[in-house]
Amino acid sequence: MSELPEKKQTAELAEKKQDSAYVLPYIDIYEEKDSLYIIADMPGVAREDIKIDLKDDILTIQGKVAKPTDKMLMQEYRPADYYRSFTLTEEIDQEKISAKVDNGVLTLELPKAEKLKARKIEIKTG
Amino acid sequence: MTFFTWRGWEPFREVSRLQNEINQLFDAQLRGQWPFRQLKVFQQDFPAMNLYETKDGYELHAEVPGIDPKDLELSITATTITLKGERKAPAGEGKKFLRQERTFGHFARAITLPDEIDNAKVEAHYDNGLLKIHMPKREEMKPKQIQVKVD
Repeated sequence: MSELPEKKQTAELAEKKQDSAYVLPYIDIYEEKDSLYIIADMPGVAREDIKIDLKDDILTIQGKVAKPTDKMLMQEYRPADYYRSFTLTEEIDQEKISAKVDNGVLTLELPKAEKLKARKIEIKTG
Repeated sequence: MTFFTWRGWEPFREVSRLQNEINQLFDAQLRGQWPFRQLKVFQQDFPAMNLYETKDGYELHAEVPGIDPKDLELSITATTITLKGERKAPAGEGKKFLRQERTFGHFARAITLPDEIDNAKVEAHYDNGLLKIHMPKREEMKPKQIQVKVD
């Protein structure tokens, strides 16, 4: 995989060698003032079939897909479960990660840790 | 012989080139044996589609994550089924993208249908970002058992 364009990464991808039973969902990662967002396309996955794990700074998303048993005549995508993992740095407040699912798209909000948020410092005049 | 202009390593361009080659392979194969054919009018590969043969006909699955089913336009004529829509990019300013793999914008794909499909009975269901189009065969096209009578 290519390097992320930013040198300072608040979340990086952990592309581990994984079982070919899984496919990687397409993702976007973007940063806003107070949070980092991971958006993953997981078409065909119901809300209850999405599993999000966070262990040892590794955030893993998994989605279970119903695999049609009918004979396939034309294939442009592989109907398989989704799996992707990300390594989080201490810049993320792991306690405050939240997720929502909408029409097969998973959105994860990863708030930045308080100490890293830009803070205005008032200059007092004496 | 093929010549490439060196643009630096662009993994997604490589993937899309590979995908085009695979599509061409499919198209070549389809011309011979396969009743469906993608119309060349739309040179697009979004949404990705799979086609299955079911007991009573065919089922076309299209990956349309994040698109409200109300924003999908599915139409059928005697010979063609067309899927149109738009995937809107997330709104808002001040986003700094660290990785962008998802694509946005207008899309349209058309598939030529074989004669054997009963167009009036084509149904579509939206299931968590996956569009499933069920296309049953016409009654008279389904195989029937013929009893052999003994004289």
